[in-house]
Amino acid sequence: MTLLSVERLSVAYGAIKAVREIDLTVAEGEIVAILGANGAGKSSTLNAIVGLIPRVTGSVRFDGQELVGMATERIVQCGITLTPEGRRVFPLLTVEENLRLGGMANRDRRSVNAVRATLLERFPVLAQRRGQPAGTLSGGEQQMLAIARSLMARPRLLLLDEPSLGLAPIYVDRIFELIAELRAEGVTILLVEQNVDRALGIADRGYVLANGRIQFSGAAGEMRTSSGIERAYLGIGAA
Amino acid sequence: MPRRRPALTLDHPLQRAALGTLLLGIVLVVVAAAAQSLMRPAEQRVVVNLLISIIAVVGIGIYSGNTGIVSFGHVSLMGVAAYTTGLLTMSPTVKASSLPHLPTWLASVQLEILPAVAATIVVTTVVAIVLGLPVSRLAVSAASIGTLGVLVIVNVVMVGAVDLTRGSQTFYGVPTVTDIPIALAGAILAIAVARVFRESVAGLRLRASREDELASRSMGVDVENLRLLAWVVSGAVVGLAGALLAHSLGAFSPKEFYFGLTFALLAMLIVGGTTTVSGAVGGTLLVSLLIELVRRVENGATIGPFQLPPLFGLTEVVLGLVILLVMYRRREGLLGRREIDEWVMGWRRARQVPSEIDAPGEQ
Amino acid sequence: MEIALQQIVNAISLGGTYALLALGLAIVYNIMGLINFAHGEIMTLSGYAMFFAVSAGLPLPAVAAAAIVTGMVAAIAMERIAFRPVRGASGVTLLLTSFAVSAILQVSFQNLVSPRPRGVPLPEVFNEMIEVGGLSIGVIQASSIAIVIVLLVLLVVFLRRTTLGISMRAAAQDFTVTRLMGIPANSVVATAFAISGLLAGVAAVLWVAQRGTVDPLMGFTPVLKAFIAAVIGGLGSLTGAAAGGFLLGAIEVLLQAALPSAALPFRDAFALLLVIGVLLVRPQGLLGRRSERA
Repeated sequence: MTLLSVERLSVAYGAIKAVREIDLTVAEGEIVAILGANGAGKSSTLNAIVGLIPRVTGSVRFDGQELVGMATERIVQCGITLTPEGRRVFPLLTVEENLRLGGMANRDRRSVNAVRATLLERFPVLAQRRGQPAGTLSGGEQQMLAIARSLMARPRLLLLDEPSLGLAPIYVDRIFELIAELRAEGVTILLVEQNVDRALGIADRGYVLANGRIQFSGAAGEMRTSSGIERAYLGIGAA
Repeated sequence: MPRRRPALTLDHPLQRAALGTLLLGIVLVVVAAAAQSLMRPAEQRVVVNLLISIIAVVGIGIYSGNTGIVSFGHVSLMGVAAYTTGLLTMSPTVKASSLPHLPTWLASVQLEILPAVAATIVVTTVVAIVLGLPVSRLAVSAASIGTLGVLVIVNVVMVGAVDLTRGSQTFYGVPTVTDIPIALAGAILAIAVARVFRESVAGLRLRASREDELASRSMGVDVENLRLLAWVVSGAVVGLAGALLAHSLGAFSPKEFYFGLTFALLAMLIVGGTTTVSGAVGGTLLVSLLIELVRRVENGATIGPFQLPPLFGLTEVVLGLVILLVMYRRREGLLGRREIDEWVMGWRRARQVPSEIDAPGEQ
Repeated sequence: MEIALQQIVNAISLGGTYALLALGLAIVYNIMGLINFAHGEIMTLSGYAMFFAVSAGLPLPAVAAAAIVTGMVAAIAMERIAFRPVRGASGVTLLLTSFAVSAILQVSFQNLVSPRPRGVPLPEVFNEMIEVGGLSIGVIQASSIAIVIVLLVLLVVFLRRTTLGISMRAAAQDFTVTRLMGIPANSVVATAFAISGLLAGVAAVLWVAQRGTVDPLMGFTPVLKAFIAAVIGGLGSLTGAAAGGFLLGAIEVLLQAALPSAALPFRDAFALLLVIGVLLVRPQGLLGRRSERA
């Protein structure tokens, strides 16, 4: 069943068109990857879906409901969360406080404590550091916290913006393991990544963005073997 | 697509500064000439004030426009200049009766206007350096508050230094010699200085730091000292304004150089556009006109069959609303971010420039 | 010795009022990047509320409540009407907007109420002295100090323990991500303004209690000083802002006592100069952190 359906989405910052009329879909239970070089419009797409960009044209339907024009806070309450690029934990708040805030988007108030307990079990390093300011955690630990914070909301759709960026290899492994685990638990994931290999290794389908347009898309397995991706990344030829 | 080279290119910054000054100067000369020939002397005072306001606003713009820091403090430098030139040009007889405790050298001196104004600008520049040193070290938002501190501190000093200034009582007896030609000359000079500064390397670097401080610092831009330079140059220009104002008013007190004037001048700068000299001039013209109109109504007026009661403070309310309007609707000011010469040259090149900016990589 | 202790009490009392105002400014600044020039007018409005409450014959607790409620409502309304259209804009835009609002309000007070100071007679108890450890301290000053301390403690508890308080601290660090937590931006902003209004209301009560009058520019000068104090202490830090307020109060009282009478008219200039001098050494303020948005 299609959970997210994006149609003719366009994002412009002043005169610069970052995203031009893209279409994409995400079915329930899938992992979909958005790939592309820097500046291709990947982050803008995720930000637009979650309502952070004021002037967006096109349509974004989540479970049938139109999201364009809705405030971010309300979109989050519908069951979508975004783990933004660069982790962006609240540096001066403790790990515990970060998680607590993540739980604000969970509409089922009674389950919040149970969810937190589960997450702390799952991420022992966070349990260890619960009272520490989040800014004192290492990059990989902060990424764990950022994802855990998003999961506190029990989202149906999780948007991940470059989760492996700048992390040590051991954390990169852990992150992708986690993504696979989450899919097994029924969380639908839309993933933006520059690490093509790992992303296609875990995703069901992928879209390649360049210059704001979708150059091509398909099943992950096929995309891994095609040479179209190289061309898109190197900006050779236009769509 | 081949482009025809326009006949007049403005590649050199001084050419742009010169063209801009020329264009603005022509506008002002026309206004001044019209006023001189068509208005009665009492009404001409309004135009003198307008031209002095232009000097002041352009001066503030040299700092605020290039650094991006709103300054509340320049009006106090105008006050320093006003009192300085007053003390230098008043006749010793008047000084003996109104300021009996002046040091002897000051009590007996009486200069001609030109040397007095020149000396005043020097004094104001020195004061600007002293006050500017701490302010230039502040981060951007703190700096605005720092300039607020300057305004308050200088005001307290002007009120407290009773022997020099008569404190909060009126300081009178300053020769009233500022007429339209003098004010016009001052205005054109101020515009020239402002444009040259803006187009200079210092100005360019400051404007870069205004856009992205971190990036410009990482390119080696000495932000603190450039801000100090802008503050000092702008201090000299507003010093000229203060001196000419003193010689127009003839009598004043410290409250003339406090929040009221600050508010009016900032409104003029904002309405036209903080970042350009053309904006400063245009905004001053518009807002001064508005103030004149409102002033007629403030004291009670008759519009058709209606008799309006006196509405004191209407000027401040209108100025406040005008500022809010600009902030809500057109933040960069009515004249935007381009100088008048850029408008003119842009119009000539309009057809040769693509109108859409594409994301990089696409042709 | 007694004089010194008396001066210390004065310093803490005055500093406390500045601290409350500085905190109000810092809370709003930290969340929105807005330096609210019109904060003084909120204090003045609260003062006028007291005037009308006393004129209506209300008892003291109701008068104080009137001031505080007025402060909160005025602050929230100001945000909703004047600052909402420029939310997210640059610091300069916000500053100028608040400057314009301040001017409009001041003129409105002068026209709608009176340009002259109006007396606010308060209960006799305020003119008395109480004995504390062998010292005679004015009731007003003692209660000022007590109130300020209680408020500061309550504020700290609120910010550390309650979800709303934690949300506000989060918003001060990263407003966008706070919205991603599903926390409504408008609630956070309104709460920040409500708190700043409350603090301004309390400051008004303490101020009017000591001076006995209200006038259209009542809030203007103390808030001006509170600004400068907050900058000294570090606008980006609540503790710093409060510390700056106390420091300025201490400096003012000290200078008032120590300066020769010829120099007294310059007291405020000296105080501000000293305070700007601190900035030369530490541009981010005494307790501020070095960050891009200082």
